[in-house]
Amino acid sequence: MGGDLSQTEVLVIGAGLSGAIACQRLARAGIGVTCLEQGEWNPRESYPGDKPDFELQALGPWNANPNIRRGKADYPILDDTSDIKPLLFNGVGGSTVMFSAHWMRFLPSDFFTYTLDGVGTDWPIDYHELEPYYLQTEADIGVSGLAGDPAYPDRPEYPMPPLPIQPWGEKVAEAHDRLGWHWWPGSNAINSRLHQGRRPCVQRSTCRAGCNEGAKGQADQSIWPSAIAAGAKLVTGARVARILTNPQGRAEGALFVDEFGVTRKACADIVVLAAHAIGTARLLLKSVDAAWPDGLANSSGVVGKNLMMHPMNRMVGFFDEPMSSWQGHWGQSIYSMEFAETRAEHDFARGAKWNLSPTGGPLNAALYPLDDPQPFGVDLHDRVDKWLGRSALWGMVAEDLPDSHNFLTLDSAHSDVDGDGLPRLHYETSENSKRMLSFMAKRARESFGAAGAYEVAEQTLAAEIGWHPLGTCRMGNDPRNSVVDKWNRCHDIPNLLIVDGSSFVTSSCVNPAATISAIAARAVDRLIHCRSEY
Amino acid sequence: MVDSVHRELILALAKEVLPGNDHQPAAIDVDISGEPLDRVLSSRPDLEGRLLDILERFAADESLTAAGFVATLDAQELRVLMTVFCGAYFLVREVRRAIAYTGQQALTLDRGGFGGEELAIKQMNLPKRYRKPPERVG
Ligand SMILES: Cc1cc2nc3c(=O)[nH]c(=O)nc-3n(C[C@H](O)[C@H](O)[C@H](O)COP(=O)(O)OP(=O)(O)OC[C@H]3O[C@@H](n4cnc5c(N)ncnc54)[C@H](O)[C@@H]3O)c2cc1C
Ligand code: SF4
Repeated sequence: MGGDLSQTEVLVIGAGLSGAIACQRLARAGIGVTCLEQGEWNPRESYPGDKPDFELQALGPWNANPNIRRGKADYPILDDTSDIKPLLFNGVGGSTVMFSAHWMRFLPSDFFTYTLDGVGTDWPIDYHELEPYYLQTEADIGVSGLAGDPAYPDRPEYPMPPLPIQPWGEKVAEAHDRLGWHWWPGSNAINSRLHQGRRPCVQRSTCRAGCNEGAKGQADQSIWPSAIAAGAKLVTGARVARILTNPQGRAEGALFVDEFGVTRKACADIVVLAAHAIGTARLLLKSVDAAWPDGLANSSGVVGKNLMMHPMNRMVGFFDEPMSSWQGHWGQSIYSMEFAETRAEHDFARGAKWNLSPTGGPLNAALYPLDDPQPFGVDLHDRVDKWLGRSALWGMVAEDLPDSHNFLTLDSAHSDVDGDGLPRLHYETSENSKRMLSFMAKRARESFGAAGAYEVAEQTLAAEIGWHPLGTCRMGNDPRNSVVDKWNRCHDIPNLLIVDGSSFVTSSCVNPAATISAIAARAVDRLIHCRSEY
Repeated sequence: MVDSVHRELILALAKEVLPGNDHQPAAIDVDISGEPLDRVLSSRPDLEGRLLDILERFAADESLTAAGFVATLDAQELRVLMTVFCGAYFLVREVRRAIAYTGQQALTLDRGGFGGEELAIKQMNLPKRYRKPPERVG
């Protein structure tokens, strides 16, 4: 047990994806950096993937929903006012411990939704500004994939060749070829070769509960070892309760509760928030005082607003042939950007990204929440016979547009351990998303049909899959309607940065981790190079 | 704690929930109420209390058949019941053999290629399809 931590140059809050990237780069640049993380290291041996009861554990103590998992580091999130339930992980590596590792860059149009389509808001940065950071972080995380996708600008080869697209991927690729539709081998933060001392994937398909092999680029395994080797200090079991500011209006550190329950102070010249779109907005709203009655860095009133959750549909195609589809990386076998961009003939703006995956073991088959009611009796045996080893799953992720009616607040009727209100999500799926996903469901039936599926089952608006909360402290040039500037610095507090997914302006239809990494790397590089301005 | 009465109630319900088919055995024939149930509850101790509540309600209402009782469960209760029953059932080696499920295995990656190379080359040769945004001014 100790007193206050010694003063550091930079204090990072959260050791997830963005926090790891920030610490790695700061430490490599010789800048003193300490990271406070409320959770712990979860060693590879603790993951359930190589145990026979994997599927049971993945539904309970390794569930991605913190309200179900209820781990020691998890804080409750009130979600009965949200159409979609949040998924995240609190521990070293953050949500990447559980992520499916689909690694996708934003499309160039994603940064200009207002100019191009009259919806959402333009970003103050663009694809080309992020490009070098996409490249650098792909190498650090370890990404496998194939260059040459016509849905994207040209790019160099990935650090590793793509993983096998699997028999179901081949069937659907052939079908899309016949339909004249786009498909591409999945890009995944999963090793297809030995990469930086981490072994290749063994295709066990248990990625959603941590990778036992160290093949998945989860930040605790890919980034943190090199960050620590470069000198970054990581304090685990350190739950930050408040960001501290001084009378001059600058951040001066954080108050945290250590693993023994002792409240301590960590002081720094610069504070970087990397606590996830929910955790960061929550911390700012908790950090109220006379100077900041509505929450720190919230003169705009935008902290917590514009919550985006990436609504999705999932479709399961059933095939006659056995394909052992409980194996294979749980990341994407292939993806399709056929319907990713706005088209004049659609009755919705923007689009969806499709990703094709394996379908898990027998418990997943039995309990999977399709639109049909939960089967039991003979129907349940039939479902398992049809599903197990003979199916594939299209997940269709809708681009979610920012809307100030979708937001996070602190609900004072329910207190957290510090006596502050618990975070409450208010989120309603938009009509645009509903129309888009209804269109996508019809097209996915065509896709599976052309691939030879004899039946297709649907899960419309998968309420339990809020895997991408974003946008709660958005970036912008105008301090009246954004929280951070284009370098991720808070407009209100120049030495406070927010580098996680809360800074997203719009959500794209692709998975966010690649862009979160690139944005964090870019923000921190600017801090390193223009240190005196902060 | 699950006792012998609870185990009998589980078997009574299992007849309805997992009756078996031409190749999957019935849950009562592989006795999911014994060791498989204990394995589930040691993996998922969080389920035990809710399972016992459900079983005690089943025991209390003699007017309902097992099928009738399952129909009275709300979505969350049904989820608990199905997780325990199916969890136990699919842990049984005989059941896994019957459905040809070999478990989540560590395999060696095929280094021969990713599959679908020819088709990928066709895609690669198509015109770029992404929309080019305007140049940013200023
Ligand atoms: C099940 C699942 C599947 C996903 N699949 C994909 C995918 O395939 N592709 C993709 O691109 N994205 C995926 N994602 C999303 C991706 O993992 C996240 O977007 C990304 O990890 C977010 O990075 P972050 O740095 O913002 O937050 P995180 O990585 O979640 O890290 C935040 C960290 O901050 C810590 N923290 C929070 N509050 C405090 C506090 N008060 N004090 C101290 N520490 C604190 C947390 O404990 C946590 O460790 C998935 C997410 C989940 C949950
Ligand atoms: S499929 Fe590959 S990446 Fe996923 S858990 Fe297994 S080894 Fe790790």
